[in-house]
Amino acid sequence: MSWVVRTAWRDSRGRRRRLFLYTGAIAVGIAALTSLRGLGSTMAVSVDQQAQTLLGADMEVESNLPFSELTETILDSIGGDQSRQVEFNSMVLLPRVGGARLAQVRAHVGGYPYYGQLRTIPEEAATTWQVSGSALVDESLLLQLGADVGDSIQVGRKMLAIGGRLLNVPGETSLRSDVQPRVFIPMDVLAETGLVKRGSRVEYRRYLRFDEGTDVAALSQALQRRLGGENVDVDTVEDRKRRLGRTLGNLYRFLGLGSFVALLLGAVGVASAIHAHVEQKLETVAIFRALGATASQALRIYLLQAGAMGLVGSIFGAAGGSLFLLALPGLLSDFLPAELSQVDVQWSLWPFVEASAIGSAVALLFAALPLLAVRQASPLLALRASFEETEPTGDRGWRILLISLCVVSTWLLARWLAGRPDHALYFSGGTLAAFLLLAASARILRGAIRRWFPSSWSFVWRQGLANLYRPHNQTLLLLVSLGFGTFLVTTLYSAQSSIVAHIENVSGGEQPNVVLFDIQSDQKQDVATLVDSLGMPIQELVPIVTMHIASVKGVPVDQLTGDNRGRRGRWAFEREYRSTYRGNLSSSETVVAGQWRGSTTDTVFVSLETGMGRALGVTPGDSITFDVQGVMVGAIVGSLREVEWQRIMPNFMCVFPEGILEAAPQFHVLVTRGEDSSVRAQLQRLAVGRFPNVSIIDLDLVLRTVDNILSKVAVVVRIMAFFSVFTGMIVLVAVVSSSYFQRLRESALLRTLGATRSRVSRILVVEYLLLGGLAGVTGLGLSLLGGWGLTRYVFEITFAPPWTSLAAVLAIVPVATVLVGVFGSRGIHAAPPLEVLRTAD
Amino acid sequence: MTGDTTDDATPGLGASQVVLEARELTKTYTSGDRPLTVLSYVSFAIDAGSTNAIVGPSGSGKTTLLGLCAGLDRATSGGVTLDSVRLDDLDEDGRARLRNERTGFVFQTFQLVPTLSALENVGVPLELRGERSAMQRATEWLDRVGLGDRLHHYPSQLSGGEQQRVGIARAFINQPRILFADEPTGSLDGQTGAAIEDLLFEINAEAGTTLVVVTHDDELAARTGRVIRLRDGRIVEDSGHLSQDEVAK
Repeated sequence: MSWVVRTAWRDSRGRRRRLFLYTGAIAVGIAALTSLRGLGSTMAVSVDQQAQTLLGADMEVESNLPFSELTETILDSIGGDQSRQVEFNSMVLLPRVGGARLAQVRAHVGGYPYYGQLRTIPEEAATTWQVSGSALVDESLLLQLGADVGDSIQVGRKMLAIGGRLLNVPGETSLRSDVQPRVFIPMDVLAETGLVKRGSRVEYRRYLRFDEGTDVAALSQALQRRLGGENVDVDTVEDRKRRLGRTLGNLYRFLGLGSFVALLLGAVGVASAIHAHVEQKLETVAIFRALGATASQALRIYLLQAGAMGLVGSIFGAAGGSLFLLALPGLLSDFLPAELSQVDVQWSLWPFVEASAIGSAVALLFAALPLLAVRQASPLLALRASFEETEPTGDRGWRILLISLCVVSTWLLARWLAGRPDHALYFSGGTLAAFLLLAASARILRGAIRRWFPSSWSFVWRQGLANLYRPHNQTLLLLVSLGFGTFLVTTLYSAQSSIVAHIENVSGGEQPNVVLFDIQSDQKQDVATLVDSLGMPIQELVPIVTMHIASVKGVPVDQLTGDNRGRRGRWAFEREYRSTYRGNLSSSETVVAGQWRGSTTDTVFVSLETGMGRALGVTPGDSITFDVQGVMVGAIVGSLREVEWQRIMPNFMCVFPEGILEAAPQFHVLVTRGEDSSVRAQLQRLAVGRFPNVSIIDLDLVLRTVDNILSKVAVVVRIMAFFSVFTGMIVLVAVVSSSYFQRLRESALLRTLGATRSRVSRILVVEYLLLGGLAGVTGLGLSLLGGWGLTRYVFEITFAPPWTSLAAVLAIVPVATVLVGVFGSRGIHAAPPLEVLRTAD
Repeated sequence: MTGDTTDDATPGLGASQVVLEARELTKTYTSGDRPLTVLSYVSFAIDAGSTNAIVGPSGSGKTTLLGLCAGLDRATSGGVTLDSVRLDDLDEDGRARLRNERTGFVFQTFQLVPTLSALENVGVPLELRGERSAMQRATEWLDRVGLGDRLHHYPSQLSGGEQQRVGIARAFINQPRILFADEPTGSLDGQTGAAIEDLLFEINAEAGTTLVVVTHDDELAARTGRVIRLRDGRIVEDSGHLSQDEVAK
């Protein structure tokens, strides 16, 4: 064993506990990394193993129109087991409890799912519901309305018994049941519901299972060729795997950001700890140098210690991450198909080794920068504690090289975690920007305290404040790490709160809070009368006509989409438009180009929403031909409108003038307001009973659903923020610990000069209170900025931060910092001052 | 190690006997924006096996001179030849190796590595050379300075006198050609200091090492064969040679 290795080990004596503590900083980041990588590989294996279960069949054929005769013939000819499904949205009513809700109704016939199974209570309901003619109803819907198995459910005009609570459908997440509760009914009662009519939005599906050995990919390609003009999508297990892989990839990337931030904070923490460690070791380095050790030997001693710290931290982190991995699928269960959230975690050595190597390398790289001080340490320090030295320039090249390496390795780490160079750039750039902003804020705050130092304050406060900018302070590091955690948590919280406040706001005052849609023309008057009879105002009653675009500026849409394949905006050519016709602009619309024309003359002038105009590449004066359910209607773009989409009222991409669409098949939307929830519930019950095809959305329910979904999303972000906050706390402990002897001597000196223990303690409390307070204020300030940007530009709503909760955060961060700081400094008053002052180290 | 040897490069100074030669050594620091010269054109030569003291009041440049002679620092101008090796021609690592092979140090504040035991502290110079017998010889040396029963004690567990004994053992373990001692008794009480002085001179005599002591203690200086007195960075008296002022006259 070489002298360097022996000395690295011997030199760590008495400091191993503290060095071990420093390793905690890197350990959290590595734990995050290991668990997420482990989750990734576990999920990849599970997706592979359970791919068929995730689709429930070997192949799915789907269309939003009833299958044509040709499609039926071809599908019938390819054999295998086949099931049919018809899916649409409709109100469902539970007469016993008097509750009604919009649900996703699926009419089924056949043995689907062929792989995996529907999970129900009672269990046997999953196999008997079709035979017994009963319905399976999502558990969330039953819980919400207080109904249970054995009750009846009215779907359209058909009343069915509820045969089971639906817990899980293969390949679907539990979050989905919150958004759209599912109701399964047997196919043979579908006609009796009277809900599927021309113009209804319906998805038709056929699920197929083939004999083993069938080349499903080849069959799929052949089918797609043969059904090319039939408006059907063919989906296989492989397609589903790819899509799920993309979805999971997005989830990993999002969580990867958490581990990236934690690892980076950990690396900065290790660098800071090494900086503090080396500062106390410079005299030892000088002794070694005076006795003949070369600069390189001295450097290697501490590089070895830093590498060992990184390795130990990484191994502990990887072990901790492997344990956390056990809990992770459960924590993310809302976002994963049930099959994946219940998988057995796959243990493998590789992620462990990989994370340990990365942790050691990152720790070593980031520690190398402060270790340059060892190279610079003059042996002359052994003769006297301080000496004048000319500016060291020899290591400038090394410094630049190491900083460049740190930046490049940060990008590489981001590249590895994000999987794509552009995402890596957002990751590393965004994190760097946040770090820089926090660091700049910390510097400004520190400078401001120094500049406007409150000389008239008490000794305790002045000492505490002065500690923030004394030599070797860790203010910057702590503000960055704690501030970043605070920033992440509160930004999310502000955004969530703003969204909820916005929905509350848009459904408050005189704003509509109930929307009835799918009202047929012949029901229009009766529905209006019903609403009126309950004392609710009819705020709008507008017609809606479904249509597609046939050509733009004379070019058929097929040709246009061919040309625009893969381009953004393709959606505008292919989507189904639900347009209205009227003589006036609504209060949520503003014409920004062209001229509004409310009536048809010789020419049909339509008004397009600006985004649609951009996507189609049209301006006023250009021609568009609409396919209105088989009838071609030629129109000229008369105007472009800005639309306030967030207003709860019927808003449209395309508005026709009066006098052209009146005779087209159409349905109507009615918006109203009901102050009393019992009246709104009564409207839903009566409407479902009398107009089963009419769907009703109660915004109060939407609000609760959105809040529920956001809370679940928040879990994921909190996992991410947890890594950052936890690392921040460990860095704090490490930093407090690294300056322990300095504080011990300060305490002894102050006590020698007559300060009481209580006063010395109060100085500590003030310092940590200020550190925590500044971190809280900085993080919160940035989060307000971030939250404002997010709500203003991403969600396009008013920023409404939850001031009370944010004030609580502002209190929690300093208190937690004080607790950790004081805990880490415990014992500094225990030794008599003389003993401390006589002890060199 | 790089650098030219100067066996025949010191005419008039008795080349074969000179172990340390300082030639017009000048050291200037920058203090704030102003240059501060702490040593100015200091020249002397020290014979092998001699005992020498560098004395002078605080701030006279004693420690700076010691640092330059031992290769712990670089002169602004002038040069040092140590055991026939020109230090100016060596890089930092070369000087470190030279220190390890040919010099020993005794410091005022002992400068023991706090995390190493007495035995390990003494063994460092030999371990740096990769000698396998380092610990065995360190044990012998600690026995020699009367600390055979304190081998595994850490510096914080030793008294000041004991720590300096460890320092002396460490200084002699590599059989240096020249030993530099910077105020070796400066941190000790009178009685302990006297005992350490005795030990230092006793072992030095046994080993035949050249001794250069920096001190402001006239009694200690008087025990050496030659006293070089500094004031304001210049030699004002050299009991073995003419002073710079005398040379100038």
